[in-house]
Amino acid sequence: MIRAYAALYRKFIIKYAKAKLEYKIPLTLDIVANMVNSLSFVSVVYFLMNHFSKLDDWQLNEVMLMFGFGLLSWGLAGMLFWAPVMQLEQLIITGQFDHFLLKPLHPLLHLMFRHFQHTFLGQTLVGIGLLYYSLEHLSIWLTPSFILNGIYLLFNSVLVQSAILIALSSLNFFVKKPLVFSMMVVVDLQVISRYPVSIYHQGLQFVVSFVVPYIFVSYYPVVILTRGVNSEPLLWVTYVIGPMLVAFACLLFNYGVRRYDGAGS
Amino acid sequence: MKSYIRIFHKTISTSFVYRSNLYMPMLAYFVFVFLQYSLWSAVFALNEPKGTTISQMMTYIFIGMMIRFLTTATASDQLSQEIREGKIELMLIRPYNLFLFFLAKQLGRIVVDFITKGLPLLGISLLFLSPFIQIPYNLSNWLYFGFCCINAVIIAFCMDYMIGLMAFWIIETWQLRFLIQDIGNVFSGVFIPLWFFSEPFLWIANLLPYPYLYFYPINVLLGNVDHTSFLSLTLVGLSWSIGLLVVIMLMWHLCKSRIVIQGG
Repeated sequence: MIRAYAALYRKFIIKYAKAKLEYKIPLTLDIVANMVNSLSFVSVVYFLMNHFSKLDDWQLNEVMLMFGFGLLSWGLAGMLFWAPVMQLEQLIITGQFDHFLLKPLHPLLHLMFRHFQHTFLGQTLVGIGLLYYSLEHLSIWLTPSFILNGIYLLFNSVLVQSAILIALSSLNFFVKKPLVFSMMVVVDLQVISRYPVSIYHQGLQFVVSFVVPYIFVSYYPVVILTRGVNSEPLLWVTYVIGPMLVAFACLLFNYGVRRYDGAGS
Repeated sequence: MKSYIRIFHKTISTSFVYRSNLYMPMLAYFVFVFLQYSLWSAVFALNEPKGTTISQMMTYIFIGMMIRFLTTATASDQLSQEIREGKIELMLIRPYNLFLFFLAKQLGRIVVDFITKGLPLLGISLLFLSPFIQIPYNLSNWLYFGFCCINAVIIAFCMDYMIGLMAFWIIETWQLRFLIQDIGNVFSGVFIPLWFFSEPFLWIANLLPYPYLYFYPINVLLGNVDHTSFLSLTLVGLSWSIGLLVVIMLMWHLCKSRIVIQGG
């Protein structure tokens, strides 16, 4: 079954790439604009840390590592799951979502296959650059176990990001026009959550750990990598939270699809 | 003049027709300001930097959020769409100047934003932030601040209008607009005040028009700019707005030769 899906996804991607490669200047501008967007957030940390040199015993490199985790996982998850968040609102308003229900493919998969978000290549590239920069300056011995641990944690972050995006897109089935709210979460809240979360007051800490769990995307992985998994109680939850959240988000989406009964016009 | 006032008026009244469309952007703006405030209060609670106090920073955020919508120009979105879809022809035969038409719309939006976002935020921040906010009262500073704001509105609108006109050459302009916006957010001091910039970045910022949109007006009101440098700041700021106006006139001249109207 997975092979069939992979073959299908390949076909969709080839079609999409052909269409996008027709217009080369907009394509490059898309990616450059997204790179500059990520860099504009990174520049704030850079200026801040240059001035203060330490944020609650976090060094510049460690905060950059948090940003690297955040940006890379955001880029990878966004390439797959940004399209549902972005398009579902209009699809439901115009009634085109009904077509998706008739196709022999799950609507979420279809939305994801149909529109590969190439714009997120910008975030991904900046994320890779930041990881490289911070790992080079960090005084940690790169052992194989550290690398494997890091790769798993990154994978886990991508899962958490995807879960958040799926959950945001399934909001469309419960409320009208949630896009502005979703943008608020993924732009403003996400940027805030890439800083060491421990510096904020408790209300905000609660929001990023329990309401929108961005804390597992960048802060906790870096805590585990630099301070060890035993430095805080219950830190091991990070290892299992990704798959759990994805499963939960998919259930929410399915429940929403079952509940959906047209735009009501 | 009368028709532009009419457009200004209509922009305001149409925005209040779909009232439910106003709530979410309003909330989003509150959240942005709240998160900005959380970040800075956290940073300042950890270590007080040299030269800047927490009350100065909070006042910076407070004045910033009150004038931010003066410089968020969005007219170009409609302009480039009209160009892309060929509707620009209809706008050209109407008895108004296109530039002034969009300027009137922009001013209308500023008023709407002030009513929906500015006034509620003013109330909230006076309730919670008032111990931090200290605006030194000085009549000449206020007058100069007013002048800076008007100039900022013109600069921001001109830059946005130029992007809109770019649609004649590159069809899709939203990427360009995002690009300019992101660069602007850094160099105008929306994300982080220019106090924290290192020398080379400060040098770059001063070559750009962005600090005149946000950072300098606030800084004047905070009393960080002494009277002797008023004149030089005014001259540079004014020359930016005049220069951009000239560029727009030249661009418009080129654009007119690119318009091809099919049929009739």
